[in-house]
Amino acid sequence: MPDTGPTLTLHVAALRRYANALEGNRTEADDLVQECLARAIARTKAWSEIRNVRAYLFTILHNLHIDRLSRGRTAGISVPLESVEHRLTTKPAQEEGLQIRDLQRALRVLPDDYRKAVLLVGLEGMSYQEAATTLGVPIGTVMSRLSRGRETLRQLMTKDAHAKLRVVK
Amino acid sequence: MIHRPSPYRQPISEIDLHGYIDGELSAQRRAEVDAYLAAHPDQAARLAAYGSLTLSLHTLYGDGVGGANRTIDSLTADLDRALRRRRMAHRLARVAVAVLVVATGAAVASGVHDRFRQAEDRFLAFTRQATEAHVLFAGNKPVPSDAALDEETAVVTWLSQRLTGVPVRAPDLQAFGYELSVERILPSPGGPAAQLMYESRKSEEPITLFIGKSRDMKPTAFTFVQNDDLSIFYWQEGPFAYSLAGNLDRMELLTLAEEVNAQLVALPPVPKPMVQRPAGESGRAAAEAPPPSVHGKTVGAVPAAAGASTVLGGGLVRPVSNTLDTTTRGIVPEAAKKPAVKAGQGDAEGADAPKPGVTPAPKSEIEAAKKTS
Repeated sequence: MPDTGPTLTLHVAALRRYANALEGNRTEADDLVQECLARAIARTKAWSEIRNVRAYLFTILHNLHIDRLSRGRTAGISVPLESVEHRLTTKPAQEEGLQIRDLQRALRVLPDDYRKAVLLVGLEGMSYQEAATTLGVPIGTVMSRLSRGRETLRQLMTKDAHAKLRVVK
Repeated sequence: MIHRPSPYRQPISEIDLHGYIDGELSAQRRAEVDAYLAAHPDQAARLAAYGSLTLSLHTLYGDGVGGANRTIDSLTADLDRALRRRRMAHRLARVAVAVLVVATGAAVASGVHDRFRQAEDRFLAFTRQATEAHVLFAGNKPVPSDAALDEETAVVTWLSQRLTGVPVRAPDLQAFGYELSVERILPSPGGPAAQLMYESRKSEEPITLFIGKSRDMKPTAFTFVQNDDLSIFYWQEGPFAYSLAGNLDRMELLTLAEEVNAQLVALPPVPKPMVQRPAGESGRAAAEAPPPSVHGKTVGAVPAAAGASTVLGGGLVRPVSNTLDTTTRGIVPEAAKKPAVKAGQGDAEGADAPKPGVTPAPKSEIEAAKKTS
């Protein structure tokens, strides 16, 4: 029987992982997941139409995330790439895992909608359709956000790397 | 060996490249992207960068979920219990759906049924109907009829007028190489639905658009179902539910689905059809009233040589001796029935046929008149 017991535990682990990537902060992320689960429990009466528990939980999480953003509790504001470029390229890291840290920073400046598409498909392994259901947008929107998101990340990180090369010289 | 490109071969798009790394492409499309990447090392390098981004995401966030969190564990257990309760209730509903599918299912491969039974979707019946219609009619091309080309908006206009009071036009897919070739009204679980078939000069494969009444007026995302080669998108928007089916690649069909949706949502109302039903008829009479345009169109267009056949909206020829259900019967033009009667195809039909010189009227009204006389 899907989506109960161990499967549900896996979904919740995925929720925590995803919320952490989305929020960039473990405490905030777990807070978000708790609120998400509480809301899901309160709504189980309406669950007769829910086919995909994972997508549904992620949808609730997204709605909560958006609520928080609109309340201004977190600083997830989208800014144009040009205005943050200098910030991304001024601090050369010197250790291993350099690219990973670059990615972390690049993710932070990625517009929210792009970040969600990149994370749902790339990190959570959702199909485009599942991501579309989760985000409540047409599948075509998921595909274009994913493509723009990945390209933006790639460019951010390429620029980062170039900047570091110049510093090293 | 000469490689013959498929009729739908399109340039490799950004979407295809991402679909390639996310496992969203058909085998055929994947092979095409493979060939493309072999010829474009710069694009291959870019895709590799996307791939390494994904790997880095897993390195960054994939392993740990943080330490144990008691609150989350306890909430998860609560949710688990709530879900199990819910599932018991749901199981009964699923049995009912399965019975319905088995009871009504007829001509379509059982794979389709299984698919929909699993899906437990509220569009189940609607989409199953659309699929059956596509499977039945796609390989059975009607004789081209000039009449069908005269008023290609007619069926959808009639249907939308009836369902919502606001007539709309049939979507125009000529920009994608598809011409509207057949339109007809079919019965569906939610009442009459329009079936529109589009054909492409480039391909043997038609696509079928089904438009019916939205069950709850709630817009939904595009939902995709694949059964062997048949791809289906279905969705709800405004007052309508849609289903688009064809032996197409998912991405190609999606493009068409989005186009259909955009046109039907954005379209301003068109003027009312030329032929109007008289006002003040009952709901049931309205349900069986012939689409006015089909009515008008076929009366003039079908020669007596139609013989023992009736001609449905788009020119599909069917033997009259077939048992037609109520809704289909409702759109059989009276003029087309007359030759059948002359050929001695049943007294019941003859009794219902209008007398010469009398304006053809829908069957339901004639029946009503018979009962009162």
